[in-house]
Amino acid sequence: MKKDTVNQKIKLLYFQYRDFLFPCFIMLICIVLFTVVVIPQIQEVISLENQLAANRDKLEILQKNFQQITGLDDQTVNNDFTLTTTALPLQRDPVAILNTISHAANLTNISLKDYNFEVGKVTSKTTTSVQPVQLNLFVKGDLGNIQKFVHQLLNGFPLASVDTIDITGTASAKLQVAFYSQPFVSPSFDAKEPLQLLNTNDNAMLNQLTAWKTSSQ
Amino acid sequence: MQQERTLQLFKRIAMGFLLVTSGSSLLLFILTLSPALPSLKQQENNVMTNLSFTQGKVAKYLLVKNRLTLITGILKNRYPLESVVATLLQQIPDDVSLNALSVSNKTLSMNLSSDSVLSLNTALNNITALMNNNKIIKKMVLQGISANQGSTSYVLTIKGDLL
Repeated sequence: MKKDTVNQKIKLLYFQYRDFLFPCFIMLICIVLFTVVVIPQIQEVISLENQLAANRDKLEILQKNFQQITGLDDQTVNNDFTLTTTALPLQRDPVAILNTISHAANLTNISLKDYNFEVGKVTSKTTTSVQPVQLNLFVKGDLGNIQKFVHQLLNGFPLASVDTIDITGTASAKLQVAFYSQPFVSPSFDAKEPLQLLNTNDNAMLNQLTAWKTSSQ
Repeated sequence: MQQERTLQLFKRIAMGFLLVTSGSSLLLFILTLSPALPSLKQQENNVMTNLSFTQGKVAKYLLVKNRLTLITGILKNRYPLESVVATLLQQIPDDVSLNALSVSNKTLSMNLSSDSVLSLNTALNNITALMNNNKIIKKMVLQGISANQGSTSYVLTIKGDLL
């Protein structure tokens, strides 16, 4: 009896509101579609925009790098390369070292009594660090000329350092000199990263090296 | 009557929902089809291709930069032996002779001689002043001052640690 009453009430409500069912169904479908389709689409568009922005930045960097590279003068780059690799050779170069020593001795009126050095491996595949070649030089000349000789060595190529000096009397000295070299290191260049141009310090160093090269000739 | 108006409102809302959902979906779909990304990729590839023609130049340029950094490091760490010796020699008066000078591993050994003790004293004072002014010399030891019988010259020996 009670069940019949409930069924009758439901039927009554159905007949009263059945016209609302279709719009409600449409609204429900729209909400479901919005959640399932449109929201992911929004996320996709946002991600696409981010990707576009990143690509635009990347392209900007690439174009800037290309402009900077093409703006570099080939001759200047070659000259700088020669200058820096002469100052700091890619491998131990005994001939260049001997030339530097004899050139410095000639310029400063120093006579070389004796010298000995151990070159070791001319090229090394295992090490990429700066490799000094140690030399013991026994030179003859007055104090002033010995000083000039040291100056000449320190301001010549390949780069050297005088680590020890033993002056005996005013006519001779024993010097321990190190000549530097550094093996070739493959340059790592990521075109998508901004190219590091030579800064003020680099240019100042290039000028100094050029001045040393000119003065030692 | 009231129900009729409510129904109309529901229908309009449902239509609105339908339009908004389908419209926004279509619009977003069109946005995802934007040709900007492929075009950017194409431009990127073009620039990369152009850059590949300048690889040699780039490699040289980067090597120059690398060498300059290394050279700066070497020169920065190089002991200024030339100026140390020059400064030490400047402290010696003209009538004092340098018998021996050794600078090695930041240690100094100096042997001076002169006929005048006063001049040797001047040299000693000058070198001491360097130490007191924190220039070149960190620590100094006067090894001795000697004179030989039959000789008029005096010999001064100094040892020290360099800065």
